[in-house]
Amino acid sequence: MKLDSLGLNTEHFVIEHLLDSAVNRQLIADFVAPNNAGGLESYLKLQAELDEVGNGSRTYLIKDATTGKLACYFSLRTGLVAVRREDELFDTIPGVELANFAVNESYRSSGAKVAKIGGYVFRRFILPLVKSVSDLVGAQCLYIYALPEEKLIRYYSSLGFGRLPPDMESFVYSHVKPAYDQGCIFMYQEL
Amino acid sequence: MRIITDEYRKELMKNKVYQMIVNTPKPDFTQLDRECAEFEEWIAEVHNRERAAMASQGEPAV
Repeated sequence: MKLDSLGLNTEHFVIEHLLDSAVNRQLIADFVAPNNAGGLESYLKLQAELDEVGNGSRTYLIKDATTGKLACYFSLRTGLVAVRREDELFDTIPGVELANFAVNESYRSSGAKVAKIGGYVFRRFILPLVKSVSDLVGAQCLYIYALPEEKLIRYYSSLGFGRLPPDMESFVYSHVKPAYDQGCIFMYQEL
Repeated sequence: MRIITDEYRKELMKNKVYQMIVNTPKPDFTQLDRECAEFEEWIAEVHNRERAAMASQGEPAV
């Protein structure tokens, strides 16, 4: 499935795979993550390409169609959610993880309403892309491990993500949450 | 590989966590869609200004 064939580009923004264009390396080098999200900047600059090569995740850039500036990026990978059974075992629900999602601070600072770009990218690019994936491989939900900050949790709620009751959350954490996501909050939405 | 048996599937359907996740209503994006439309209107104006500025400096838009 080619990215172009999905018809995701809008009049205002285009989606590209991490290294689709020669200028992307410079755009990535200039990317600035929001406060408290240095990990997201490091991932884009240091790890994303390695994950591409190893098929560990796919990273996409959203670029301004007029200026070519990098507005934000996100990464997707397949995964599963573990659900408790009555015995010692567990069942699983297939899904897609939104593993990284960050707006470029230097782009955000270019205007007041640009603060809404995260929701726009989620609705116009991420969701349609994930739904296309779920048409080809079984995936019942889209999920994230959000940093444990109230503001972020509210933000992801506004994008349609919800939380599980605490005991169910703990079960997910103890079975499938990667160690590097320690302390993060599992949130999901149905596809 | 094994396949899911009817018995297993029946047990799965009784699993309340599984049922909760797969039966969670899909999100209502009415508000988000409204915000996206407002954003598109705003960014269109911004782009018009940027294209005009770039043209006045002899720069082609991307």
